[in-house]
This record gives sequence, C-alpha cells and structure tokens, in this order.
Amino acid sequence: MITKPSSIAGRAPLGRKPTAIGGIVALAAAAIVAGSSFPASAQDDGLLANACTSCHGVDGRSEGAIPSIAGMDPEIFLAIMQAFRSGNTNATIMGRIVAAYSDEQLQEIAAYFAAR
Amino acid sequence: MAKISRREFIGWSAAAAATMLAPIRISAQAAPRVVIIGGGFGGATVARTLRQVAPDIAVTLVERDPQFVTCPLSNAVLGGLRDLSSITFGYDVIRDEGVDVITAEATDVDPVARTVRLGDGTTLDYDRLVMSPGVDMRWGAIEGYDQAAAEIMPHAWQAGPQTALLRNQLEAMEDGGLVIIAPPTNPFRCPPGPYERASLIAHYLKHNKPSSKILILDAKEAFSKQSLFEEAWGALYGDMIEWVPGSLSGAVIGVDPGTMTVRTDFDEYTPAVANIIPPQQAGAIALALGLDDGLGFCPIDGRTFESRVVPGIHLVGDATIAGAMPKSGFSANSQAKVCARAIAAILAGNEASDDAVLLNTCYSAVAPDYGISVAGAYRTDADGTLVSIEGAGGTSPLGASEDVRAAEFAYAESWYENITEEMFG
Repeated sequence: MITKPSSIAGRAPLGRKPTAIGGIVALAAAAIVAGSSFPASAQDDGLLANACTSCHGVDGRSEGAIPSIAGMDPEIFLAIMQAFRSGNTNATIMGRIVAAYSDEQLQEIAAYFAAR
Repeated sequence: MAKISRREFIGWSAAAAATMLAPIRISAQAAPRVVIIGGGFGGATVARTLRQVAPDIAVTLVERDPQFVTCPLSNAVLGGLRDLSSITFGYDVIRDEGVDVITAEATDVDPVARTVRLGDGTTLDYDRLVMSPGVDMRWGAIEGYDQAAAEIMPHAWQAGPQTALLRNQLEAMEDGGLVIIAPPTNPFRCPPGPYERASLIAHYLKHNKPSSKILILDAKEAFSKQSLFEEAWGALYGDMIEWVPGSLSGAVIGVDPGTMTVRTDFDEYTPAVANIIPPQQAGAIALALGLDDGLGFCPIDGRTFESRVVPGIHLVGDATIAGAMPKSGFSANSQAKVCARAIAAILAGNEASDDAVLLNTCYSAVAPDYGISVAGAYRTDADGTLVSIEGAGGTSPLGASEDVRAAEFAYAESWYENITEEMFG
C-alpha cells in the first residue's frame, strides 16, 4: 500500500507548496516499481526511532509542517531517505541529518514507524 | 549539603557496598524507583520515556514550579509574536500517566543512602536518580550583576517572569532607544539564542519604534549561525543591529543598574533596555553535590548519562558536559530518551546500549516566515564521550530562497508543537 501523499507532505507551510516532496514521492514510486525489497525482519526497540519523534511527533504523528511518518510504507520511507542522502532534493533539515544513519539503521527506523 | 570528592565517594562506596548494588533492591521484589529532579526538557522527557519503556518502574518527578515555561520560542514572546501563555505547560498529563509529580524544591541528596530530601522535609528513596536542573546564572561574574540587578537589567535566560519583564521594558521604551544584548562566553544555554533574540526584537522595533538600535556586546569572537544571521539582518533590518565582538571591547565587564550603565573594557553605555546574559553553570543542586568536579558543568557517560563523579546519579540537559552536543532543549530531550532507556536496562539487570544516535536541531526565527537552523547528530566513542557523526549535520545554506526560509520557519513552529506534545502531552 502506498501512503497517501498528503500524510507524507504534512500541511504545506504558510500556503506555500513544500519544496521537495513531489519529487520524492515520484522517486519512491520509482523505487517500488523497481521492486526494491524490504527486509521484513528488521526490528527496532525504538532506541533509534525515538530520536526522530522530537521533530516528527509522538509515534511519528506530526502537528503542522513537519511531515508525519507514522504508518508510512517502509519502502517509501527508505526511498525518501535515499533521496535526502543523495542531495537530489531541496531538503531543509533532513538532508543534513540522514547522513548520520547507515542503511541498516534506516531500515530499523522504517520498520518502527511502519508499525505505528 | 557537603561536597563529595571522587576519592571520598569511592571510600564511602566501599563501606556501603551493600546499599550500592541495585540488583539487591530488585531481588527484594519492590518496584525499582527512579526520582527525577527538574521537569524541563530533560526531566519531563525522562519521566514519560520511562513510563513508556518500563512501566514497572515507579517514577517520581520533583519540580519546583507548578508550570514550565519553555526557553524555546520565548524570543517570539519578546518580539511580540506570541503570548507567554502559549509557551507555558503543566504536568497533568504526566501525572495522569502514573508519574508521581511533586511540586517542591529538592534541597538535599544523599548519594550513599540514595535519598532525596525535599523542602518540606520529606525524604524520597531512589534506586536511580536523574537530575535535569538546567543552568543557574553565575551572579557576580559581571561586576554589579546580581539577582537584584536582573530585576532592572533582565537576563531572560530562564523563561517566565524574566521574559515578561524584558518584554514590558521593550514595550515601554521610546522610539530611538538603545537596546543592549550582552551574550556570555561559551559554554552557555542555547548558543544561537542571543542572536535570534536580537532578530525578533529588531522585528518588533522595526514595526513599532524604527529609529531604535540594538547593540550586541559580545564576549565572543564568533557565534552560532553567524553568517546566516548577518545575511538576514542586512536584508531585513538594515543597520538596526550592530554586533561588537570581544576583541573590539564587546565583552561586558560591569553594570550599574542604578544609573543603567553597562561597561566594557573601553566603553560605557547607558541603554534604555539592557539584556545582560551572564555566564552560567549547572543548577545549584548538582554543584552542591560536587557533580561538576569543579568544572561548572557535570561530566557524564554519554551511553547512560550517569555522572562520572557519583554513581547512581544521572544528569541530562544543560547542566552536563555532553561532548559535542550543544546546550539546548532539543539536546536535553534527545539525551533524556537515551538516559531513560539506559536506566530501564540497568534496573532490569541488563547492559545499556551504546548504539544510540542522538540529535539536535536548533531552529532560529529571524522574522516571521524566515527561519534558519543548525543540526547535528551524535554518538558515543569507546569512552562514552559524545562525538559528532562525521558527514552529518550543518547549517541552512546561505543565499537560500524565500521558500526555504519560510519552510524552516514553519518547521520550527511544527517542531515546537511536536516536542512540547511529547514532553507535556
């Protein structure tokens, strides 16, 4: 199932369109078409994911402009993270933060929020 | 409360070894007890994270005030963008989740008996103590700047009445007045804070008292997000804000609140409003226990946030020496989650994880719809020192579009809603 774009983008800040999200959703869709596989066994006790909620809200449910990530399809989540990491987006904050995580760590985090 | 040297403490520990071993308490079948002193970004987050990850632990939160006013967004109050009530939070949700929230001052800690004494004489037993006492001002570090002086020349570096006082002074000031903001040397709470403050006060003055001037008399040679702030100031506020570094006689060395005089090495000013932000140190209760090891802030192991000086006591937030992490509410929140999980592991007889990635993002509003940020990611090294993760973090770009600045402003507001929801419900 593909998460609704509206829940990825959150509310557009101040009536402006979020800068990067449209392209990211396209990337994510491309990743799914390409059949990238997600390891269903990836688990996280919340230690890593817990850091994300300071911005993205309790369990990944965000108020306001920051995107909600609760219940996000893990493949979309990972595609977005890869897009941020590659610098192929106009990310404001996340492009600087995602570089701290390995692919394995991102998979753990993706699984955690997918289950919220 | 007597200070305890490391050597004395080790002696005491040996003598009191039986009481020092947490597993003994657990084997006595009693629920393990965690007492938290301080209900801000660090303490409130430890309390709620413990309820979430280890509901069998009895958690007591001791906080002096019935409500908490956040320093983040208090500059928006100074700039007239928000009311103080919108940055004020209570403890009802935390209480409803089963945390014993006690409105009292913790006056004494006995780290051998593992007890906390409150102002009314009550004693609380703990298996693990968490202190999140924030910072205290170092009164007297600037000649003439004491608690009485702060009622005339507010620091407003602890949000609440000080914020209201400074806002009232700005509102009462005549057009054409001089506002001095005097930031301290490092380390201090919220490194970009004084410059965000200058920005949002400039926003207020530009629209209400446009002939006024803001002089930042700095003890430092450089500051957080400096080029981004200076780019924004030039674009938004012309020459209203002037920054004077320490080497150009910027450092404030003395004040006289009676004559509204602010003194540097070579210059003397008589501003209409003086916001003196003095050097800081860990909150009094941590210093009284010697947890700072004479350093002013408290060394901790970044894997557990346990004190390097006294075992069984954990510290989070601005009171700590947290390696590469800056002193911010965001840092305190991130540290608190790691600390709570470590305590849960330790009290369950397990080893704390060293796999955490800690985060900090300091958003600053320069004006409505104009935000900038600095982000960092941190891990612990083999000694438990918090180090930056290479390749991650950094500031917003210079020369970014209006859309990017507006997005960061909106993200800052959204962050605030989310983190305060996480802390206070």
